[in-house]
Amino acid sequence: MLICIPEVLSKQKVAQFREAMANADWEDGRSTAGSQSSLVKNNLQLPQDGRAARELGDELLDALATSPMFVSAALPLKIFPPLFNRYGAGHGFGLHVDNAIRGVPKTSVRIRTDLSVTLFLSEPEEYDGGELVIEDRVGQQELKLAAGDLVLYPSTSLHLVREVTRGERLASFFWLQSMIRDNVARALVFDLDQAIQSLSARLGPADPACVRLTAVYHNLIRTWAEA
Amino acid sequence: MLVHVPRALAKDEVAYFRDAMAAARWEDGASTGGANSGFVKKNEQLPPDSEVSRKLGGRLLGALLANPTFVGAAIPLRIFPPLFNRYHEGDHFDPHVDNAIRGDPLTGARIRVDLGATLFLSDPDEYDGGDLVVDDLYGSRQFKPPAGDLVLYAAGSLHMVAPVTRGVRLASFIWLQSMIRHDEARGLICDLDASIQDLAPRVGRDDPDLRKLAGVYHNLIRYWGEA
Repeated sequence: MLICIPEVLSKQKVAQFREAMANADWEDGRSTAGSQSSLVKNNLQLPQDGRAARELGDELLDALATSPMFVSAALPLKIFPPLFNRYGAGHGFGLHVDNAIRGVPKTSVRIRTDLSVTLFLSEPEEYDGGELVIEDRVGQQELKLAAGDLVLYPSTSLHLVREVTRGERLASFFWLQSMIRDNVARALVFDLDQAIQSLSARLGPADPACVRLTAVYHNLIRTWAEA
Repeated sequence: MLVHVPRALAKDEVAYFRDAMAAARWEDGASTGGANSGFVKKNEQLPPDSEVSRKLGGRLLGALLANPTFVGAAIPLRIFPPLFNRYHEGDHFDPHVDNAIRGDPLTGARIRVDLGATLFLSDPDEYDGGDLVVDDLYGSRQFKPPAGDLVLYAAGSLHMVAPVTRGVRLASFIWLQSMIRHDEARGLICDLDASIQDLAPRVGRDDPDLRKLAGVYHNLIRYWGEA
């Protein structure tokens, strides 16, 4: 399941984020890369324990918590503190898979990376190249979303960021552990939720079929969820 | 799972079954009791390999497999040939759970007994006592429905037939292996199906939300189903 969610951050918020990022110190992006991906990663990152990354990260998490589409699709249990990166001309990130388990630095918190998220902070016309390319067995998806939009996709996929050939690409990225580990099961619960939301709006939430479907929804989560 | 299926067998079919049963030879019902349940079973049974038992059994299965409520609730994979029993005054079947595995001596087929079902062939005013009592998640439930009705229950739940104190109680009982092994999972799918059946005439079969729900239904069966 790959889902794009528009306008997670307003344009005004995006501008605030970019201002904070412009004034921050940056480091080599390989600081958080695993052994295979450090060979193919070439970009800059805000230091993950730096003030800028933490403040912006918290603000981003607040925005995500109010996005019904994000919560419904991801069913987040634990979210890794968001990271922020910058690709200038010549930067890219070759084909890799995200580490299965990530420890949050300076804490005992560990997360299993079920889902990966990229939130775009530059508009597509500000840079050439820089597409996020996600591969599956039948081909690839190329993404270059508007600033403020995000894409959520299973961390199991191989993916890359094409080399930027002009301008600058700013983004935030992070991983999360979902309450529902299995991609197929999570997609089912998401579809069910979407159908219930739509039917409730049309028939009223007290409609007996909507009430029963809501019970099925919660009981499916009860069946599959880790909490 | 505990489901009452009204009119699983039409009244004229009930009469046909009873005529055939009245003319048949009966044996002690202990012949199909397990090691654990043989002690507490006191009733009569049509010999499982007799022509009349097989013939009526086939006819009953035809009716059940054409019944959407039965099929939607049981999601049957393999059904053991139905058996037919008769309780006279003083007969009973004490609390027991059904054997987990049943082999059919005639065909050698083996099934895992997920669900049991009782089809009532006597009307309630023909006998006193003889209630089917099933322990469910929310307590014990008693059934004494009209002839032709069927009660479907988890074979693993404790159940009994209360002593008959007057008259004769005729019934058929079946065991089946469901495509969905787990009771709670099957219950969820059954509820989802019932909601879809409820919504279909109201919003139309080609409604996008209904199609999404139908997709979830089939994907849940794909997720959990054995075939």
